[in-house]
Amino acid sequence: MEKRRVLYILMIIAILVGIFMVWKKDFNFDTLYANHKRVEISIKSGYELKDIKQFAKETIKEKTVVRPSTLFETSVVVEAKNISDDEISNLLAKINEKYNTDYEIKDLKKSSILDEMEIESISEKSDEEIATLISQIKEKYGYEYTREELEDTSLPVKEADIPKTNVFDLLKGFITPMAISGVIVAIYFGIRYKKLFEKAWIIKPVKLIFELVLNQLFILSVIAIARIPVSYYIPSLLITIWLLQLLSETFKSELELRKLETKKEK
Amino acid sequence: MKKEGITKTLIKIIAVLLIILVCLISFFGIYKRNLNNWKQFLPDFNLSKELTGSTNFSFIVDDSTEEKELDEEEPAENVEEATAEETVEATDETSEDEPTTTEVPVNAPETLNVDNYKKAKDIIEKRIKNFGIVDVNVSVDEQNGTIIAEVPDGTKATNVAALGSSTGKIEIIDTETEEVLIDRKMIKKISAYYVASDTATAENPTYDLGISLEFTSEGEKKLNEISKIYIETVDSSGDTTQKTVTVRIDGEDKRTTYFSPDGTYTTLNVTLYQAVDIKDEQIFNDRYNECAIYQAVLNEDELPIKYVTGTSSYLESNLHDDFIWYVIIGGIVLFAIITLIVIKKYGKKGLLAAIVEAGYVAVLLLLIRAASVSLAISGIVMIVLMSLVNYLFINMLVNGEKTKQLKTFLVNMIPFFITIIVFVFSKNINITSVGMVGFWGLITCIYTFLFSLLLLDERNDD
Repeated sequence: MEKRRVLYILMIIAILVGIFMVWKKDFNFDTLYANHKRVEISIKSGYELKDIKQFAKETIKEKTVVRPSTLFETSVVVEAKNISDDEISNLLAKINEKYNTDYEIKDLKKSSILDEMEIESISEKSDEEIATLISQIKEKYGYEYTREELEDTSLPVKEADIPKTNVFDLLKGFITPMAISGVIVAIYFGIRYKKLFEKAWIIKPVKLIFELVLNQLFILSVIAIARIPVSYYIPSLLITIWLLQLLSETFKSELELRKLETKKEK
Repeated sequence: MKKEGITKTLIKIIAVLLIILVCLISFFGIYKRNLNNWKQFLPDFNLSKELTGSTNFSFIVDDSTEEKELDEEEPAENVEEATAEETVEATDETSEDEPTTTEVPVNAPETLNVDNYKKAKDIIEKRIKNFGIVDVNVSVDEQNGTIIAEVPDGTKATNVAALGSSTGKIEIIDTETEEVLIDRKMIKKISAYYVASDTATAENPTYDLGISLEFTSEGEKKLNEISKIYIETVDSSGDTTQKTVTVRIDGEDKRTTYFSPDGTYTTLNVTLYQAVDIKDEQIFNDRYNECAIYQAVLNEDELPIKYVTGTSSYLESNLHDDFIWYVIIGGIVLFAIITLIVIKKYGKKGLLAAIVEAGYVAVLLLLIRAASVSLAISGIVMIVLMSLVNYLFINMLVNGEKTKQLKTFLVNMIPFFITIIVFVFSKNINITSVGMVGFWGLITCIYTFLFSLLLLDERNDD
């Protein structure tokens, strides 16, 4: 009993440290769950995913995720928490070399530059206006475009900023089903094990709920403190622990009950 | 006595062969010739987007402007102030050169804040879930309000653009004066419906499709109030005139109607498509789908900000191939360990127990395929967990009188079963997946019990 109490205290301390860590530094999100940059490159002739993975590894400092985009795999997506313009340029150079494409960083920037300059349509502009625009872009952003390039609306290389996944969003769908099942199971425990000892009808359910919730918070705290990347495994981990704990508590309580009944029979 | 022994051995051999057959079918599939290749006969596993791929939709805050008529009392300068840096441009001029309309942003600058971005994100997420796409991740960029919705690729995915870009404003207005008579707050629930149209015949079955509005008590009171005013009247010369109401959704007039003054109304059916021929299934389904989108959108709050659809792209999972192989290898290793343990513990009976366990996994996987259970990663973990639970069950059955052990097992599983049943009804893919796998896992325990009676019964063990 004493050991268990010490364990509870240690777990609660860990949870408090975890809360502090989340408040100060947030969780350490894995690439796809963090604020990250997504660069989509269209390679219509087809490509080998392992080549692009290798190029991304060679050119981008951060950990990258490379996966096919579009159902016919004519585009590839490279994602990382941060990708600098130089890194994109190097990546595109390697792709150009391998697949005979001619992508440049300015292809990627065109759309955002025109948006920033509030230019909606190039085709409606006069030659003079376009010449002025080209020189303005060169002066402000350092990229030199031709009239044809500005008029071309296709986007062979795109970039997007992807917002991070909120941990609460990841877990909010758990709260209601876990709370409902937890309450029903607690009531069942109260009724089923009331024979165990005098106040078992209240102690058993409260202890069960307390331990279930404590364990879940403890796992999240360990993830936060140890800076383990938050990723797809989190939901599975939490549900598995919840169910295993529930099974173990039930088997243990049933065993206690059986022992008590055998003792009474004697 | 000897004959009885031979029969029992024969039954055991048949049972083992049956299990092996089920294992082969479940693990390797049944293929039939289809032109030049072989086609899997069994239904595919319904894997979640994390394991297959997803379509990503982006919704961008609408930064366009719209024309707004200036109120007579409101001087043009006030509007200019209200719209801050936005261009205020006269589009029509009165004789006194006073502008009558002005360009205003569709989203007022004061509405563009983090709270509204988060609220919009929650509303869009709920709409997508209401539409029946449970496996959805929605995130918001708190700097610019851009919302990214990630849904599994499939027929329903194509509707996500409409679910995110509709503002979701519904009102019943006076057709003539445009005075709002009933707004969203007075509507309790909206459901898509289809009923046989008036012109339908046995040869030509046609249906009216639309949405049915159910009102709050206040709304119902107001509806019955207006049903006495917005009616058809006949004047002294016999001419009929109708005073009508219009159901307006997102600024678009959807239905104009009038009431029968004698009726008492609790609901209002808004027909969006009349006499749709059911023979053209594609058109019928598309039209009904549109009604279902209205249902999903209008049952949630109105978006505080107007959004437009940005880009959409399909992204393959980064886990798929590797992850599935790791799971298969992990499963084989786990099964081998369990088999070695039970053989060491129970000898020949242990080998039979391992066969029963393999059969359990095979039957469970077949049921998961047949029931189209959405398999998320948590569901795959649950298959492993259920295999361990089944192993525990087999262990109990080997160690004692079977009926008594079955009772003990069932009692032990009650809290687990309660949890599983609650999980089945969840709207979270990870929880539902666990619930469904757990449910079918427990049902499959019936197989374990029956085959244990055949293969692991002491009396049969000769």
